[in-house]
Amino acid sequence: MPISCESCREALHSHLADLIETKNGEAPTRVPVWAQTAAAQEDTALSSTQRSEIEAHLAQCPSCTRELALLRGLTAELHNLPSLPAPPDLRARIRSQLANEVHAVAQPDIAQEQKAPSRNSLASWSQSWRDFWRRPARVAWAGVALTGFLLLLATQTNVPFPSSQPDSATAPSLSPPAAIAPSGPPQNTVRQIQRKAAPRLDMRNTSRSPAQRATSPAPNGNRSAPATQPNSNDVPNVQAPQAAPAQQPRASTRNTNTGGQKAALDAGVKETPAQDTVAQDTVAPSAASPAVKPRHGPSSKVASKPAPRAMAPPNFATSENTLPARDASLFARLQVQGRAEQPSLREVPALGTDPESSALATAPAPLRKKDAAATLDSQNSNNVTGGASASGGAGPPGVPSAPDRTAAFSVRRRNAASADAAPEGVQSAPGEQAQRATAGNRQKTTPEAERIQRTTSGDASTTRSQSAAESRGSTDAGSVRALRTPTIAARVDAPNVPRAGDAMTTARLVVTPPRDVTRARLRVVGSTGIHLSQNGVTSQMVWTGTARRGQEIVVALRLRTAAPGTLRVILEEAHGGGWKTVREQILSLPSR
Amino acid sequence: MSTHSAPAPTPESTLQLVERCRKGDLAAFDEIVALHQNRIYNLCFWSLGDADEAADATQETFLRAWRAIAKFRGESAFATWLHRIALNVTHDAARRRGRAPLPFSAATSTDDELPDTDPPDPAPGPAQIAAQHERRLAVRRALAALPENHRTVLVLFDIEGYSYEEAAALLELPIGTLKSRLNRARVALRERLEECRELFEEGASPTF
Repeated sequence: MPISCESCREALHSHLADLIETKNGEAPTRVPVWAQTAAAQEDTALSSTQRSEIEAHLAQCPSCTRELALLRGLTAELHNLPSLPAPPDLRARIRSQLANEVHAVAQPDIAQEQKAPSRNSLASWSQSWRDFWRRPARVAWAGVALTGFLLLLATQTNVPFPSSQPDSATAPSLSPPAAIAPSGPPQNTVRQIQRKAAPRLDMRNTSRSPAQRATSPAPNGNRSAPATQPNSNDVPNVQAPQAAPAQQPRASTRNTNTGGQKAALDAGVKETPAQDTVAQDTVAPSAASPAVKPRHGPSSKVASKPAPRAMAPPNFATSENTLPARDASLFARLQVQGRAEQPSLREVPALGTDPESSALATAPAPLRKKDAAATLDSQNSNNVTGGASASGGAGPPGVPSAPDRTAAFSVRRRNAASADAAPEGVQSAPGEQAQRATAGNRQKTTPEAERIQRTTSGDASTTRSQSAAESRGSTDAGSVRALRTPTIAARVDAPNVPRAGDAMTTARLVVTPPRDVTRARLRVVGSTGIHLSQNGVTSQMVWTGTARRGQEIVVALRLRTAAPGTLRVILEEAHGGGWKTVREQILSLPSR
Repeated sequence: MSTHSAPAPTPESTLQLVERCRKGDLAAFDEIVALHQNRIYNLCFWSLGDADEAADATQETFLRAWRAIAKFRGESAFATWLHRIALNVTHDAARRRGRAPLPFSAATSTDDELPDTDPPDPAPGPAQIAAQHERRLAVRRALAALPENHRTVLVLFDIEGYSYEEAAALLELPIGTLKSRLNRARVALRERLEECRELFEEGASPTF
């Protein structure tokens, strides 16, 4: 009995594993297993009737046959993904980390002795205090004990509980019994109660012993925690909340550690005493190994500081933690640039202002072989180099392609004196005019560039760039917004020239982050009209990739241009917990 | 992912190493790391999509394994136990990252550096190489866009090459549930690749 296409698709999707997987769940081999038709048909949850129906339908339905082929091809592609070797230093990292842990476990007493006594006692007391309050039963028992203590206190002083009223308030409450039985002993009892209650109430006003007052200069001394009462676990008192804020910086500082350690902490892995000992070792001058990422280096230091201000920058010196200091300096530089070197943040007419140099693989080969350079003024000597090349490939029909056609461009940012100098190698007058126009509009574009510097998202900058390019009379122009770092090299290879309305083509971006950037990320955003193929997302795509120090970021993009548009290439570096824009470059993609 | 650079660990040698690890033998654990690091790294890499995060997750996996190796009772294979730890680590990392998209360094920066483990084609033309590259990029992006549970079953079964039983044991799922989830994951992956289905139809056609 023939089945419909819908039934066939449903069966394909529901029994896909049975249709294409191996027998008995064997590991898939590199040869597509569905090629072994007999084996695939043997192991199946489909009944023979269902299978025959599907096969009969597939024999006469090319659409469903293509669907099955697609699913099989997709699975084959997953099977054939290459195996990645682990980083070569990973084993050494694990080994050294383990050695540290084992060493810490083996010599906990030595590690304890190496610490400062006050710091040790305070940290351990805080840890034990925090552990104590983690159990609800203990909290309940502490409440019961506190209630009992107050009851006992009230009983001893013969004051009805609660008795927090002042003397003037307690006296009228006692007067009615005296009126009922106006005899001697009750009167004495009242006086006795008043005598006992008065000093007690006075003490409540002061609330602290002289010793406590001497050690705690705070005016609201009822919250001052004498840290010299280690036996407070038996009877919890108001000193408990004091310990918690003191621990807060420690936890926060731990989050600055490596990703793996953060994973352990965030996953709720309970720390063993050995880990704490590692932390203490790290504080000790002789314990920390430079090859090992610090686990809880600053914890003890921070824990000994009373104020949350102690959370501020971690002070342990390892390769992992040089980043904050460097970022701080970069940030400071950035701020200085924002004030004193605002002209350096202006728009740089690099890629697109000169049609010959920045057509980005749009011009024919002879044109693109010309090198173009534009010299711009800046207080820094900035170099932004790039290139556009076009090479033969599987491009759309009708697109002229030639192998190894390369055009390089170079934008050098020099001193302000060279603002109006002729660009090196630029032969076209429009390029010069555009550059002069840009230099003339420097004051106008500086605030805009500042805004771009502060934001990394949105199409506003793209739109501004497009309008700026159009104002320069070049619709095929790209533009470079050099935000900070002068040493970025960006090379754009476009094997196939994307053209409006054409089928998908590919483009290749090669970005080399500056050497001082430890970790970089590249984002590519297509403007409206540029369709970057990513899972059916049509208008925009955000591509992110990471690269370690000095490593090139290579991006291969598939483009479908329905209209002229731009590619916004944003290079970011890791900064704190997020990413900071280093450079933003806008590439205009032409239409036919 | 059918081939791995590290030799396949044999159960006997692994159990002996585990016994030595329980006595505190760091050298034995170092051998375990050498045996399993590639598979664990690959699992973390394809689950997280970022080389750095995968390295950190691999390190964390082995550290957790070392701390808990005394609790390993041998009821399951050590590799299964280790991979379950790795799955927990990657799950924690993914949860910590929240809804942020997976980075695509898997699809780009590392792609050109990796050796192509495919059997050498007698005469792979530039067009075929480019098409294969495009297919891989598309698959990796689509994989990164999948929900975590779908991505996990695909990584375990299709990429890492686990059997139904092993993957079900790792995920603590019945085999039927695993198969249905695998089907849904493949269909979801296929829907995300609708844009470039011609790549897979062309690429898959020679094998049919």
